[in-house]
Amino acid sequence: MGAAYVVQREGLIVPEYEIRGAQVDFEIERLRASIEVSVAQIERIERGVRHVEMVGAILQTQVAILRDQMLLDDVSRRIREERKNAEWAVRDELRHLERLFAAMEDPYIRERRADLDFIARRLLSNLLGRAPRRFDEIAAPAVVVAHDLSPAETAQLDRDRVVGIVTETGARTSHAAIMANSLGIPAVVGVASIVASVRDGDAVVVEGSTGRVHLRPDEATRRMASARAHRYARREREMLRAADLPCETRDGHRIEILGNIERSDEVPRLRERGGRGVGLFRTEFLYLNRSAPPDEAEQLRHYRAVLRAARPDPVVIRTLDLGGDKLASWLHVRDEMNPALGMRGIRRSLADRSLFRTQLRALLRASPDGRLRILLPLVTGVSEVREARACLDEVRSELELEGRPYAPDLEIGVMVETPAAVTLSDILVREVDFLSVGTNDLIQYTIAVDRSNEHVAYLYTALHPAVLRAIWKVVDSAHRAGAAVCVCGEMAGDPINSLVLLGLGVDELSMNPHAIPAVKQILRASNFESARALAAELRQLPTVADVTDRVHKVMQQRFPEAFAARAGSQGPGPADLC
Amino acid sequence: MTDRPVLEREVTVQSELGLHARPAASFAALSNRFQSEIWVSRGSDEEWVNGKSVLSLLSLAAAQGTRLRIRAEGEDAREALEALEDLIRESRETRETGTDA
Repeated sequence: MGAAYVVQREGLIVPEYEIRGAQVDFEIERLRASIEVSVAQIERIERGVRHVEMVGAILQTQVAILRDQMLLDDVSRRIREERKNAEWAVRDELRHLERLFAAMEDPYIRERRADLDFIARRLLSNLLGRAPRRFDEIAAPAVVVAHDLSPAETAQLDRDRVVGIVTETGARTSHAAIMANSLGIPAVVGVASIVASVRDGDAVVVEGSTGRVHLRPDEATRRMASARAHRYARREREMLRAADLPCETRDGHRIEILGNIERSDEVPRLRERGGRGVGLFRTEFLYLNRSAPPDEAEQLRHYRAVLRAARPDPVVIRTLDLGGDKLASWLHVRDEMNPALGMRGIRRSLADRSLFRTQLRALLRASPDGRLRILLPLVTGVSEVREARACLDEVRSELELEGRPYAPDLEIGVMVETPAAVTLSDILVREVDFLSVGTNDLIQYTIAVDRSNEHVAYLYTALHPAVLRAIWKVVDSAHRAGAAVCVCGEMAGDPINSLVLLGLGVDELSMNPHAIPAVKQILRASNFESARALAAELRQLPTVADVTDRVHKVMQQRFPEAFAARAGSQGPGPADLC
Repeated sequence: MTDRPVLEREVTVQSELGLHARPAASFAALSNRFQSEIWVSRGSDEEWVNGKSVLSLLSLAAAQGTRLRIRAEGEDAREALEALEDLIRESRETRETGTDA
C-alpha cells in the first residue's frame, strides 16, 4: 500500500509553421540534436538498470529506433519537402509509422505503437526544450498512477520508494508492464480513467497477483496489504543480510558461492549479492556477432578488467566454448548433422591452434592482475588436457622470451560435462588442479536428451538418479586427489537442489548472481551431516519420481517459508509486495 | 556498374517472438557493422526493406516461421550474410537461462 503519486499527462502542443528554404538545414540540425539528446537521456537511464533482466534490452531497442538512419532521413525529407518545422515533421512521421503499425495483423507489433509514441514525445519534449519528467520527489511508499509510463520512465522508478504502479493504458505485453515485473514493482495496467478518480496522497493498494487495485481501502484490506508487505520485506532483508555472511552450515561446514558472469561490470552486483569470486566467466560473447575473432589486445583488456574487479577473489575463465548451438560467422563450420556431438569446446580450440594460442596468451598476460584459474570446456579425456597444457607451455616460453610477466602458479581445471569425463574423473583430476561440473551439458549427455526438443524435454531434470550418481563420482574422485569440485550449471542456482549438492560434498557452487541470496540462506540454515545422509539415501533411489518426491518433501519440511511459496502460483515475487 | 558481390539467402525466423523489437534491433545493429548494403524481404515479395533500419525491419511484421530473404551487396557480403543468418538461427529463445554451463 502506498500514497498515490499522480502523473498528469503532458500536454504537448506541437507548433506548426512554414520555414524558408534557407532554414531547412537549421531545422534538420535541431532534429539531429534532439535525437542525440534523447539517446543520451535513455542511455544514462539504461546504465542504471542494465543488470535487470529485460529492462536494459527494452531501453536499448528504443535507442536503436532513435538511431535509425531511416527515421532521421524520413523526418528530414518531410522538413525539406513540406518546408515545415522539425516538431511538426517529427509528429507527422511518427503518426505515419503508428498508422502503419496499427494496420498490422500481428498483435505484438500493434502493441509496439506505444513505444513509437514514447519516442515521439521524448523527441518533441527535447525539441521544445522541456525537461523530461523526473521522479525524484516521490516519497516512500508511493503508488505511481499515470495515464501511461514510457519504458525510460518506468526504469527511473526507485523500487525502494515506489510500491506499485497503475496505468490507464497498456496490456500485459506492454513494455512498462514487463519492466515493472522485472524491477520487482507490482503493476496493474489498463485501468480506465484511474487518473481522474484518484488524488495525490490517496491510499492505494496494488495487488499485482490478482490485478486488483483498491482505492482508499477499508481497514481490513489495509491490514492484509501491510501484513503481506512486511512478510515480503522481511524475507528480502534476511536474504540480503546473509549475503555478507560466510556460507557455512550450522555444523560448521564451509561451501563457497561464486557467480557466473560474462562482463566485468557485473562484478559489483555479484559482490552485493554475496558472491565470492567468479566461478564461470564465459568468453563466447567476445567472439560472436562479428566478422573476425578478437585479437590478443582486445581479449587482454577484458580479462584484466574482470580479474582486477574481482580481486582478491578468484576468477575462473573458461576458454572458448564455441560450436554446438553457438556459432560465429567467421568460424567456417560445415553443417553438422549433430552439433552437440560435433566440433565444439576444447576440440575446436585444439583444432584451431592459432585461435587457442591467442586466447591463452591474453589469459597468461592478464594473470598477474588477479587470481586467474583457467577452465577447459567439454573435455572427454586425458590427452585433450595434455595437449592443452602443451599449448600453454609453448605460450609461456614465448612470453618469457618476450620478457612479459605471467603468474607462475596458475590453476587449470576441466569442465566435467560428458559421461566420459565423469567415468575418467579419477584420472583426469591428477592432471589438473580442480574440476568444475557443468550440469546443463552433463544432464543432456547423461540422459541423452535435448531439452530444446519439446518431445523429450520432460526427461531433462537435474534430479535424475544417474545425474546424482555422476556428481557423486566426480566429487569422490576429486576429494581422493585432494582437489576441489565446483558445480556451475543451472542446477546450482535453484535452491531446491542446495541440500542435495551440499550432501554430495560439492565444495563450490557458481550461479547467476541473482540466485545467490536464496541459495545461501538455505545452506546457512542446513546441517552438513544430515545433508550427507539425505544424499546417501537419494543415491539409492531407483526413479526420478522417487528422488524428486523425496527432495521436495524434505525441502518443504525444513524450509516451509521458502518452498511453501513455490507451491503457490506466484512465488515469492513482486506480486507479494503491496 | 560495379562488380561488387551480391549474395542472397533465405532464412526462417526461429524466435518465438518473431523478428520483433529486440531481435530487429540486434539485426539492424549487426547489419550496420558491415559495409555492404543489406536488404530484407518477406518470402517471395519483391518489396525489399533496409536491413540496417529497425523501423523497416519491424514493418515486415515477421512472426515465427516467416521465410525471409536477406540480400547483401558489397565487399563483405558473404561475411554479413553468414553473421545475419547465424543471428536469426541463434535467436530461438526465449526461455530464460540463467547460466549455460
